[in-house]
Amino acid sequence: MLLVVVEGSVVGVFVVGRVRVRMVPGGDVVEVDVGGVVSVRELLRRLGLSVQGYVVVRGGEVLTEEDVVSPGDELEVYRVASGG
Amino acid sequence: MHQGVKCSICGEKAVAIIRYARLRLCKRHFLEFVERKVERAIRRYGLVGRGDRVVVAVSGGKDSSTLASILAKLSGKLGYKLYLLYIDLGIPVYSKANREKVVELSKTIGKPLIVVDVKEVLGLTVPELAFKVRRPVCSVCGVVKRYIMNAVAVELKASALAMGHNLDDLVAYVLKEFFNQNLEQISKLGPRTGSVEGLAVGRIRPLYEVYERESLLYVLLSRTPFLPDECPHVRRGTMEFKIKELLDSLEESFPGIKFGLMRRLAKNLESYPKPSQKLSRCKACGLIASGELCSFCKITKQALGEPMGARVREYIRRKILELGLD
Ligand SMILES: [Zn+2]
Ligand SMILES: [Zn+2]
Repeated sequence: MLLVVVEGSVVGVFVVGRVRVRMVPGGDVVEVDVGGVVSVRELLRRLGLSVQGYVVVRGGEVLTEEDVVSPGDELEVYRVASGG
Repeated sequence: MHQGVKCSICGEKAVAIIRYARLRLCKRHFLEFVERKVERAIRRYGLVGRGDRVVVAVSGGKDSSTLASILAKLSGKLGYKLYLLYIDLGIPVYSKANREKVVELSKTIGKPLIVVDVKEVLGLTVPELAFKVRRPVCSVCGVVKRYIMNAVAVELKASALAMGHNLDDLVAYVLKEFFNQNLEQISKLGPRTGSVEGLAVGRIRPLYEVYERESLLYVLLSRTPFLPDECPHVRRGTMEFKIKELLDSLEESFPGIKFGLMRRLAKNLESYPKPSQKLSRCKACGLIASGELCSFCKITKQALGEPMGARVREYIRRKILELGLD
């Protein structure tokens, strides 16, 4: 949620419902509208990715599928399978 | 709002949920869990002994970084010496970036690093070599890497060459070879392969029981230097990738099924047919071959007019002396 405050009083409220996801490897950035707080499991589902095939990291910290992410979070999503 | 799940052992915040083992682990206990698996595999399959020299080929990727880091940790306790090897293939951007990463890795874990620069010794990078002999880069790359890894291990008088293959890689190879009914190839996919005195150093796979996801989590959680970038020559959509996807959905329904297969395979390896190919000594370089010349000497002779194996061995001996590792 983003409050717009002018001279001490709230003049506007925006609900920013997006998380920013950077895919690793590749570096593609995707924004996902999650609405509110959702589990990592749910986030991956919305990205069309499997829970076991990816690892989600926020600010250098590894999250489990049961952890939650919130609008405004910046995440890195690592693909587990690497080639070569 | 819940705070996430807690560690099954200590109650701290969990960072990994291990379904097949019914465990939820915090960072500390997860790292220990993976390290124990590697130690157990080393003991169970007799991969290294006290006083051994072990070479680990590092690429800068997650698996070899996990492997090098854990082997470094266990080296004191198990009494072996560890050497890192990086082969600079000369793949634009990719090889340099990974080279810097393994230099950092070597410093972080405190083990010596030998760098073999293919362009420096052959005058050609691997893609250039592949172009000259009109073969796919990945197949030439495989020949060059296998040759250099073995040559370094031989020159260092190492008893084992440690490979970073994880459990998921190995299950996919086994299945691919099964579909092709190359049962002799499956016999080589165990936790270790034998040495051939003076010609070839045996390979060990200490990550035999470590899932690919666990390997990625390990480097992330332990902050071991690695690069997630993929080689630009890697091709998706190959049979191996499709098999991996298939196996992932099987593992999703039956957690632990991959682990079970590899455990049973390790017990059954003896009953698989062995490759019947006769082994010989390369006439040009003296290392293992299946005919007159080894594959590396054949390719370099074709590209440069002269087999380069002996030259590479000399280059490696010089590097070993320079680094004071002899
Ligand atoms: Zn714990
Ligand atoms: Zn040769």
